[in-house]
Amino acid sequence: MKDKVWYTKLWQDKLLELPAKEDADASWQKMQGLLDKNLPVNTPAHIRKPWRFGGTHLLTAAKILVASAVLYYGGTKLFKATQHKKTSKDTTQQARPEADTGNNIPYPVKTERDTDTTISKSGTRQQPLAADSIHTKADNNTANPAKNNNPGNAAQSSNTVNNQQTQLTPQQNAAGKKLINPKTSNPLKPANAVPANPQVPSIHQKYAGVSKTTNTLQINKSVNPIHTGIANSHLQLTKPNSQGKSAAVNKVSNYQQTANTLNSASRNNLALHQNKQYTTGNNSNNNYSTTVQHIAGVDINTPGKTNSRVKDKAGQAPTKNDSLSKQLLASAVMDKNNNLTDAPAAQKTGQTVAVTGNIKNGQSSKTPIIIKNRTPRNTTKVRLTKPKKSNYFAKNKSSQFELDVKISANSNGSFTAKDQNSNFYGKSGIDVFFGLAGAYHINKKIAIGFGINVLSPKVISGNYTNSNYQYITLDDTGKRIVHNTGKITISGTKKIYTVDIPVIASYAIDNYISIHAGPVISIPVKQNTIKTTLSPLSNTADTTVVPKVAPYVSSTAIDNKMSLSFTGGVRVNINRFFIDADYMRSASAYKISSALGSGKIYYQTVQFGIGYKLFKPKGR
Amino acid sequence: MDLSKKQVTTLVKGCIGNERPAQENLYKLFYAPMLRICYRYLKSNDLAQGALNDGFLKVFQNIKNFDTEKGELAAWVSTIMIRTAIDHNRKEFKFSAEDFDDQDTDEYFIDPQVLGKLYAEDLLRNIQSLPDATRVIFNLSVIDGYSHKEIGEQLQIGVSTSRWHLSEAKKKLRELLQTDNTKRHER
Repeated sequence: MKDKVWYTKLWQDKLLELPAKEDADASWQKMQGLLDKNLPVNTPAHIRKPWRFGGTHLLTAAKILVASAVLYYGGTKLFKATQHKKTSKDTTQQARPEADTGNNIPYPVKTERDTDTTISKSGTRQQPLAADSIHTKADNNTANPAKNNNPGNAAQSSNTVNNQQTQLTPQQNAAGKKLINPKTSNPLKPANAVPANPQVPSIHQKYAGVSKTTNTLQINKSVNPIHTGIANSHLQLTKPNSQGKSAAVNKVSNYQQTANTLNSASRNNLALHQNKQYTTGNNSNNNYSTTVQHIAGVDINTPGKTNSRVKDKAGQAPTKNDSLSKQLLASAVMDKNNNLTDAPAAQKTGQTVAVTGNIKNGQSSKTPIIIKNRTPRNTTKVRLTKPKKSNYFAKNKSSQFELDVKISANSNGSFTAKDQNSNFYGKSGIDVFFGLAGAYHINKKIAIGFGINVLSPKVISGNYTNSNYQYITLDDTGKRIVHNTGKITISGTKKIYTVDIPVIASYAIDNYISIHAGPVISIPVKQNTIKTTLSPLSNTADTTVVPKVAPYVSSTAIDNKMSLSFTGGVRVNINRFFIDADYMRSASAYKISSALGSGKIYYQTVQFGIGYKLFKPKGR
Repeated sequence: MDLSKKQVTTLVKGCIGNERPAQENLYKLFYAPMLRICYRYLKSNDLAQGALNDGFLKVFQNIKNFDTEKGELAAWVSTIMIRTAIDHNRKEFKFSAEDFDDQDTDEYFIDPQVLGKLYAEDLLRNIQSLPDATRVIFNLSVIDGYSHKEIGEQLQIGVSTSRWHLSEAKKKLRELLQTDNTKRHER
């Protein structure tokens, strides 16, 4: 037997020496004609020419994705900004009448020149916001006696500051009027209960060291948002004077009753400044405003004094918060004064140098002006914007919307051989698809939405039968011969790509898990043949039936223009990310057919997806 | 024709998808060996060319039934080509119905050393000159390695008939080769 095989091989090798005389290309032309006749390329072009995987296509897809994301975020930000601006505008519009009730000063002036005018008027006007609001908060809405009744002191203090700063204070002094808001002043208080303190310069000397220890405050003013300045100054004040640069710190410390009290005052101030920060977006200049207001109206007359002295001056006992906040602010003002008046001393620390440098450069003269200009606006905003802020998302309809992007895979469709995959991005090992979904949250538990999944791959398998297929041939004499195939069964496996539009209702079990379900509209846009078989055929290679039937078998296709399915599943939310697991089953059958017949196929799959919430309602 | 499994799979998938480029590649890949097969089984080159294209048409029509795991593509295509060639010649077959007691047990009816020295063209010419049925059985048995049983099933003839035709083929082929050799020496 081995010899026979060997001999056969010998003959085969010998005959391999035969030249193939015919030209393969010319022969292929004949063959192509035969193929066009018997196996016409009747399948859609997009099936024969799948979108090949390529960097260009991937890059284009990535560009589109990135551009969409940027547009979305930009739109969202713009929308938010518009809403915010609108809210602020509404607030200020509401605030104007109230701000103008004290006097008829026109609402905000933006230029420095105008600001000067405003400030000069403010001498005859109300107490500016910062001091007023701080005292109001610190005193639990009790009027500040010192503030209300020491216009002279205020004038002197202002003078002290403004001597080093600008022309502002002379205007205030020239006004010689109460810097009190009639609304917040205590009507029971005598106008001149406390005389002007002529010792203000000495007080500055006395507190010269304070500036050294409270330089942090100044630095914070110039570097950090204003609302942190007071808190920092408090911390600085409560610290032991380890450097020993200022004995006055200890004096200031004497005013401090307890750390908690001071903290309370600082928190009150902090809260107020935070509000200001939110509503106006102001900068550290506000603190200048705050301190200047104190100088002008309140506290400068009592620095270095005890609480009892303050009480005497005020004519009524201030609360601890009140006195502490006053002392704190007074020390801050003194610090500023010292920075202005005693630059060499201030330069002992690098931080002070920075502040002093600003002042020397003439920026300090501008800074309070701008702040004073903004102060009236802050007066009302502090009260009005706070609830607005908390209700922002509640009032913003857009916050109820959710927008997700998702990448998913079908258990029945995504895990086919790579050669059979031809998604829009090309061929990949796992034929994943991408989706975009939006949802509107009716309440915290229920949401409805819809989305779109692009080229979701599905493998549709099924068969159909033909009881007896007849075909006619001609014999050599030209006689017609009718052939009967008998019952034949055509089995087809097609891979289709659909655009799915799920309409989903979801219910949140808790913050992490939600369930959802709903109909899905599937639109087949692409189909590839995985396998089509004809049975029964005992001899597929040498049968007369196959050539007649095969073209029809190979043309088996999915005919549906649209299909309806139902899906249901679970979502696990992890911050902005989520994982979906869904079961999907077609409610309307896919129709697979050819000229030999047709059949119905129901599709089902499990979908797994992971996604990211581009936008989500707050708290969800 | 040493294709990797992946190349074969790719080629087959393309042909299954009725993709002309894949069909062209497969056609040109197997063109020469399949044409030689057709030469052996058919009388003339024109008939061989016709059978070749018909054979490839069958290949393309049925390639979806080919399983890369079960066999080699070349063998599968060869089988189809042989059967196509036989079908093309079937009308010409005139099998002898007489009983035949095979006395020819010589497997090497042509000495391998002599065979190595012969020209392939001469061999082909002599094979093509054999009667149709005898030529087919000779090709099936000696060159393509079919057993008489398989030949009998394929051609729907008895085993003894197949043996007789093979014996006749060997006898005639020896005579033809001897004649050629004589003529060559006379020159």
